[in-house]
Amino acid sequence: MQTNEQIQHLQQKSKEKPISRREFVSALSIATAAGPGLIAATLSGIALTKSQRAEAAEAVVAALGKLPRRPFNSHMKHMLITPISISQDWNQELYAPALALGINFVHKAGYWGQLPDAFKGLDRESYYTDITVDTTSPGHDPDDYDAAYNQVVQSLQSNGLKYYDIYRAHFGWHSPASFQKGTSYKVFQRLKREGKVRHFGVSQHPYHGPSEIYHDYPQMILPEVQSGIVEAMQVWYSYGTSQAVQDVFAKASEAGVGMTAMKIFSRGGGKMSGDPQMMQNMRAEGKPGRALMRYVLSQKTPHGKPLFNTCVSALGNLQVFEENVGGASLKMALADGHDELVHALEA
Amino acid sequence: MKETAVIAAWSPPEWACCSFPLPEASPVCLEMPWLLEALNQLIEARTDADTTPLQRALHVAHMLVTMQGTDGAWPVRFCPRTGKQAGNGRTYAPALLMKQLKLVLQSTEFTVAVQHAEAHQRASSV
Repeated sequence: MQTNEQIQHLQQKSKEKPISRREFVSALSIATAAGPGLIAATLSGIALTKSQRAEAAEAVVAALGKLPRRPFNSHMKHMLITPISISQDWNQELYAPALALGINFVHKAGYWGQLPDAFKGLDRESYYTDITVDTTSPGHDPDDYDAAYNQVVQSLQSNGLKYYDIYRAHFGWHSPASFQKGTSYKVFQRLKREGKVRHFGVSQHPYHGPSEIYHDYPQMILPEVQSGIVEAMQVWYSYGTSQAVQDVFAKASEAGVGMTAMKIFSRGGGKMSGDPQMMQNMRAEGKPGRALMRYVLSQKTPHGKPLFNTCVSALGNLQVFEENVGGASLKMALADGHDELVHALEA
Repeated sequence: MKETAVIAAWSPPEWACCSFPLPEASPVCLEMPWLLEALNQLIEARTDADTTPLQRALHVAHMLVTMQGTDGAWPVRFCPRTGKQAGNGRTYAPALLMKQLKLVLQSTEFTVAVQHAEAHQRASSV
């Protein structure tokens, strides 16, 4: 039986009952032979058991190789982090392969009600975390000092993390004036004295909800950069982001702010999927997720610094994990001949 | 029997409410009851192997948090292009979805939004 036929046969069979150990090993051999970065894609459609998925994940990890770690820009240069971060809302089956790849930053760890199994037993100093502190969102009082303080303290009591590396004001501020009130920063300073947080940052969304006066991104980002107190910034960025917005992100990066890109797929997935030439340029034909990751990670400031130090990406299954995390893999970039990304990841 | 919300399209990235499920290609307004039913269906479609439908619902829930008003409520109808409310109707229904997400994810992410909704709902019923 040809390999494609074998895979199709297993896809059909697995709908009725789990495939046998022998059948799984055969499928995994076919998938591994398909090439690095194609393992989960080849197994797609076959319903695997939890242990089979874990074994397939190990094969994906071996193919992608350990991810590189780079300084989180100059404000936090002691933090060497991978170009993609874990998010608290990932499918938790993906935590173990992510850790095996060396991914060492967890976004929104503050939302963990308890420490996930994959993190139990790890040295707390072996990975970095942020907490997104919610009192800056609309409908809530952006000057609620006590609510912000209590959110951090109570979350540490629940999940046992001891501290967060980054305190991120979540959704960011709604106007330069609200940022300049400085309430979030006062809460951060108290928590830092208590040893509960280490660096101050923001997850700045571009507001245009019904209760908000629309402020364009540059108008919100610039005061934050110029204040000198924001050490880390997480922003909406993807293929298609305007040059004006990209220029202000470059200012932040040049100022030493640790930059994280978010909403990469929701903002750029459609455009990338409809642009086969760009996917080819990114050496990721037919893989918009990987193309997007490579696109974002290879962007530079006018002085040649990485525009973004890391990215967050919503990952729900092993195939998307392989595709997107593969975009941050140095081993895959070398194999695919993406010299620009290799240079960026080795910087 | 509850009517199924049929997702016909997803809102484009340039809309204020990007990547929202839509009942038709370019609706002028989106009804919150329809949206919440669509999100519930996405949450129910998740499996241990694939939580992608849940991710899509989560993205919308993240955006809904930013749409919560100072009254702790959300618009019953809104324009997905601009995010602006249409009409005067207000609802606390998204808080129920957020409580469900909290259970599914064992997460505290929506705690503050839910607390605000419940506090205002209690105050308005007194």
